[in-house]
Amino acid sequence: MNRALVSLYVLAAPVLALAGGPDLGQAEKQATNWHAIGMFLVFVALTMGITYWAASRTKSASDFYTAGGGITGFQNGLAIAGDYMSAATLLGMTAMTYGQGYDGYLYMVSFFVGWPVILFLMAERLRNLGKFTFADITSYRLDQGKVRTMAAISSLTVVCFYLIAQMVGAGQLIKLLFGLEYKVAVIAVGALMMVYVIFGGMIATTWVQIIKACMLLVGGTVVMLLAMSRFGFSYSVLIAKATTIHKLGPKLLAPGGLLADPINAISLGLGLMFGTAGLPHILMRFFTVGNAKEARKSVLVASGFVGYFFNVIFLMGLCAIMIVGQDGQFFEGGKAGGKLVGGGNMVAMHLAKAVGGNLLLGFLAAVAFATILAVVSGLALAGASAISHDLYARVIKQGKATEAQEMKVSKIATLSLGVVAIFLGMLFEKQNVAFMVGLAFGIAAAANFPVLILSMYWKGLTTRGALAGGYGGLAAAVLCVLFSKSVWVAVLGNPAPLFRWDQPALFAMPIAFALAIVVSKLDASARARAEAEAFEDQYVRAQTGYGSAAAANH
Amino acid sequence: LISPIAIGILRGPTDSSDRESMRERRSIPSHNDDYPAPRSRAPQPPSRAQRGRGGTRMSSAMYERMRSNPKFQHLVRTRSRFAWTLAITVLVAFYGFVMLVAFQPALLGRPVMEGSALTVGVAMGSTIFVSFWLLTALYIRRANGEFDQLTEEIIKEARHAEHAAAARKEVA
Repeated sequence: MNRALVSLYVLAAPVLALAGGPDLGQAEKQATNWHAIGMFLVFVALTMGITYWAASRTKSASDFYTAGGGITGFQNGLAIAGDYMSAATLLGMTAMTYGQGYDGYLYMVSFFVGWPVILFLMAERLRNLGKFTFADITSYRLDQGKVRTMAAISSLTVVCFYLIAQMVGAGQLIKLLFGLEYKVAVIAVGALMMVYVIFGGMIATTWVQIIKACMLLVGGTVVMLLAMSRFGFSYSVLIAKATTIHKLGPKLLAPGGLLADPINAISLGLGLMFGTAGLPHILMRFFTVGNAKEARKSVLVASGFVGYFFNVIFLMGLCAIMIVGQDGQFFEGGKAGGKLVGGGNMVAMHLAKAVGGNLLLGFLAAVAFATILAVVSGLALAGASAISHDLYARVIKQGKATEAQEMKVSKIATLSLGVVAIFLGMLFEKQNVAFMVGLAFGIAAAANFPVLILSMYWKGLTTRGALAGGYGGLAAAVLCVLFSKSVWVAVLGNPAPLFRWDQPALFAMPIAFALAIVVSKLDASARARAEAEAFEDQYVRAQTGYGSAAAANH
Repeated sequence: LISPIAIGILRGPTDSSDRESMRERRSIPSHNDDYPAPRSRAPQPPSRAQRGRGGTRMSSAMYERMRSNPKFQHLVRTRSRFAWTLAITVLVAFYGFVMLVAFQPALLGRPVMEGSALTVGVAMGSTIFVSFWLLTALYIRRANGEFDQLTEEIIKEARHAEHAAAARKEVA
C-alpha cells in the first residue's frame, strides 16, 4: 500500500483531519496547475471583496472578535462546518477509506459524535456566559488575572501548534496541487490570513469560512455523484466491485488494526470529543450569534453538513478504489498498483481528475487551499483575542483599556501571529508535524475543557483549583505527547516510547479533573467561599442568558 | 426623586437583552459591564475584578428574583434532565459502538442480511450519523420552543417585580 497510509500508524495523524492540519508528508512538486491557480485567485478576489465590505462594518471590539454577535445560526453553522471540514478531512479521509476501507468511516463517526454532546451540555451556557473568548467563562467568578493568564497560555499553545501544522500542510499541499514553491505557499497563506483578520475581523473570517464550506460541499458532492454514476448509483454494485478488487477483500468493510487497542480507541474517542469542546477557535464561534437559540441552531446546521460530508467522503473513497486504483495514469510508472502520483493523500484529487477532468481537479485543489486559509484565519483570530482581550485588556490593563486600544493590540497581535506562523512554517518544513495536532487536541481536551466544564457546572471550583487543573492538564498532555511514539521515538530518536498510547486524553483529562477538584476542595480561603457564592448568579445567567452580550444591530 | 435602584434600571448595564438600551450604549466603551461581579453578600471581595462595577447589586437582585421563581426551578430541572438523558444516550451508544469495534471487529464486517452489500458496521455508523443528528434536532426543537418560552417568562416576571419594587420605593 502507499507510504502515506502506512504512516497513519500514528493515530494522531487522522486526528488532525478534524480541524485541518494535513500531514501530507514530504510532498513532491507537481507541474504548475493553472486551472487550480486561476480558481484559487477567483476565491481570493471574492474574499478580498468581502474583507473590504467587512472592514467597513468592523468598528467595535465586539465586531472584531465576534462579528458583533450578528451572524445567524445558519451562517454560523456553515462556518463551524467549515472549521471542521478541513483539507485534511477531504484528502486524508478519502485516502484512508481508499486504503483501509471501514477504518476511515470509523474515524469520521468519531469526529462527528462530539457535536451532540457539545450541544446538550455546553452550547447554551457558552453563549450565555461568554463574550469574546472562553476565558470569559472560566474567569467569570474567579480571579480574572490569574485564570485569564492561564487560559491565554493554553489557548496560545493550542493555536501555535495548530498553526505550525496548518502552515506546513499548506506548503506541502501547494507543492502537490499547484506546483508552486513551499516558501511561496507559506508566505501567501500568512499574508492573506493577516489581511482577512486585521481588516475584516470575525466578519470576514466567518464569510471566508462560509464560502469555503459551500465550495467544499459542492465540490465533494459533484465528485461523489460523478463517481457513483459509474456504478449506476448503486451502493451494492460499488461494494461488490470494490471488495473483489481491493487487497483487503471482504475485510474492507470490517474494522482493521487502527482501533484494535481498546485503550487507544477510547482515548482517541475522548480526545476527539472533548478536544473539540476545548479548541479556542471553535468555542469562539459560539459568541458570534445573537443568542442561545441561534447558537443551538448553528450546531444543528453544522452537524448536519458535517455528517453529510463525511458520508460523501466515504463514498468517494470507495469509488476511488475502482476508479483511481485501476487506472495506470495515477500511478508512478503508469502501472496500477504501485505508488500513487503525488503521494497517498492525492486520492481525492485523482478521483476528481478521473471523473471531471482538469477543471474539477482545479476546483477541488483551490477548495483545499482555501480551506487551509480559512482555518488559519480562525486560529489567528482566536490567538489574537487571547492576547488582546485576555492578556492585554484584562490582565495588563485590568479592564481599563479603551476599545480602541484593545482593537489596536489585537491587530498588532494578528500581525505578529502571522509573522510567527510564516517563520514556524519555514522552520518546520522538513518535519513530520502530525504529533503537533495531536498535542493541540490533547491540550485542548486536558487543559481547557475540564476547567471550562467545571466552571460552568460545579459551584465548588475555586481559582486555585482552576489553576491547578489547567496547568496540570497542560503539563500532563504535553508530557504524554512528548513521551509517545510520535515524539519520543520518531523525533527524538529513542528506541521505545515511555507512554505507549497515541492520544493523551484518557490519561491527561482525569489528571486535570482530579487536580481541579482536589485543590478546590482543599481551598478554604475566604476568596474560595466568595467564589462559591458567586456561582449562584452565574448559574442563573447560564440558564437564562439574562445579562449576556446581545447581538449588535447589523 | 429617582431611587438608586430605578437609576439601575434606567442604565441597566447588565440588561443588554434590551435592544433599545444596547443601541444607545454601543459607543460607550464598557467591557466590564457584561461581567457582574460576585454577589455583594460575599464575605470579602474575591478579586480586583469586583471593583468599580456599577449595577452589580442590581443584577444580583434580578438573578435572585429569577432564582426564587418556581418556573426557574422547573426550567432547570426539566432541561437538565432532558439534556443529560440525551447526552448519556449518545455517550452510551457511541462508546458501546467503540467497544464493538475493539472486541468484536469481525461482527461489524458481516452483512446485515445474507447476500446484502450493507454490512453491520456501515449500517451502525450511518445509523449513528442520522440518529445523533435527529437527537440534536429533538433537543433544539424543545429548547428553542418550550424552554426558551419559559426563560422569557422568567425574565419578564423578574423585570416586572423589579419595576414594581422600584415604583414602591419611589412612592415611599
